[in-house]
Amino acid sequence: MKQLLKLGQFILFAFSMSSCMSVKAYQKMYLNDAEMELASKKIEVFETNFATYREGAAGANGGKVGGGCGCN
Amino acid sequence: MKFYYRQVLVTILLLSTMGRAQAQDPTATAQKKGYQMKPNTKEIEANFLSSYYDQNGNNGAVTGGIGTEQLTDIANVFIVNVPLDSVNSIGFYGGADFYSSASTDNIDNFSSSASSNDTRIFATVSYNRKNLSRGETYGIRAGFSNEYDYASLSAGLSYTKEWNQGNSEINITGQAFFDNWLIIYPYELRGDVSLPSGNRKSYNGQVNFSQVINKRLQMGVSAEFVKMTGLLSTPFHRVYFRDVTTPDIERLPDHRLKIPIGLRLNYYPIDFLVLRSYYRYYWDDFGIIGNTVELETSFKLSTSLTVGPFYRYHNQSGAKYFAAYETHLSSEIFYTSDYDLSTFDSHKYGLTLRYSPLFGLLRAKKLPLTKRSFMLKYIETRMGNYQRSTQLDAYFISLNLGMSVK
Repeated sequence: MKQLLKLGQFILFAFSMSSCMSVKAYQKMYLNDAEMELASKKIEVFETNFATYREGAAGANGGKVGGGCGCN
Repeated sequence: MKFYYRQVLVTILLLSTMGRAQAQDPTATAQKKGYQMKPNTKEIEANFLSSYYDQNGNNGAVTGGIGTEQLTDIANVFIVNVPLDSVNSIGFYGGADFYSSASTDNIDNFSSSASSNDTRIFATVSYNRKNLSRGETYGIRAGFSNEYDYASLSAGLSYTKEWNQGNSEINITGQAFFDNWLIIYPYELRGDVSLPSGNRKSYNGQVNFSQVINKRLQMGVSAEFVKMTGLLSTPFHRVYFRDVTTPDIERLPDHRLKIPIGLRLNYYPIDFLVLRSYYRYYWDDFGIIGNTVELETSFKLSTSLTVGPFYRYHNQSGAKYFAAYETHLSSEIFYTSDYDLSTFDSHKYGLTLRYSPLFGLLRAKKLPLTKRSFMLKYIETRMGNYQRSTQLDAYFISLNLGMSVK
């Protein structure tokens, strides 16, 4: 829990430093590239599922963390 | 406890700093007045995904932590997003898994059990509505999944707000899952063991925050809170003890709290290279603490071909209820020999290939009954190997076909 709080503070600190940045829509050529998406790729959905089953730790990446058996 | 008060105070101060940073930027305020989030286009986007997965190991939970973990799974998923107009859209996510498992076949040692081959079907339907002037999106979703011995219903709500010229975004999602087991006990224990109920409920709360840092760098943070109650053990998993010869089924508490926090950083340093990185810290009250790191480098070999080697490392401390075959004492209240809950580290590595020509791979003009045209926009494949320090070994290959109808 202590580590969780520290990690949360680091993240908030990082965002408080960057929150003034503003990139205009026409400057987002690189940011709009499919590889730059801030989430797991669609094709990773199967890997996310089997990682959920095979590892007790899961979540925070768009995968399933509740519901479904996951026992196979 | 004193420590936590200090941590919470620092967190509140940082949050207030973030708010001030936004409020004191007059440029951002002026730009905000002239900024409107993007409306939906008329393009229907769809993906067909397919995967083959094969694993093997010798720590099957069905046989108490020894025996085969062999599993083969063929999965197919169809995803479609249909804009109804500039602000309303509906989405569909559904598919089917076909798996054969030598492990679950050992529920019954004398004949092949029903779970040795099974099909899981699942679907989720969602509806989203945008408020363009406020930069907000509201969503609602409902879904189900069903297999021979397990059924699940789910419902959820989401809210997304973007600001700062679309450079900052926060998404809040809440979901509830209502699951039900058809309880199947190991063959030789039927009549000797029982569980009070086959119900399981899960409640997920998730906050995602993303921030553009500059023209080539952006980051995202995801934090989840998962509360599970009900039958959290698997009724056909066996546990063998060191002090008695008769095994029992796996026994786990009827509640579990999970808190994962993920941090993602994507960087486009030069025109032919994209670096994707991800870190996750995980904590739960079963005693599992996990760290996961993933790196992917995407090389753009041409305007249409991208090659991306990837590597993922994960380690976790085991659940306090885990022990190996014939290690538990029968006097314990909770016990499992499921190596998915053990201490281990794992490595995953592989390659992604994506071919996306500028004008698509295949085009069909004027589909029947409509004036719309169809395009197969890209094809993507991903293959890799997964190795766990408990000697579990798996490989997979996946395919993604990206399509659109305009």
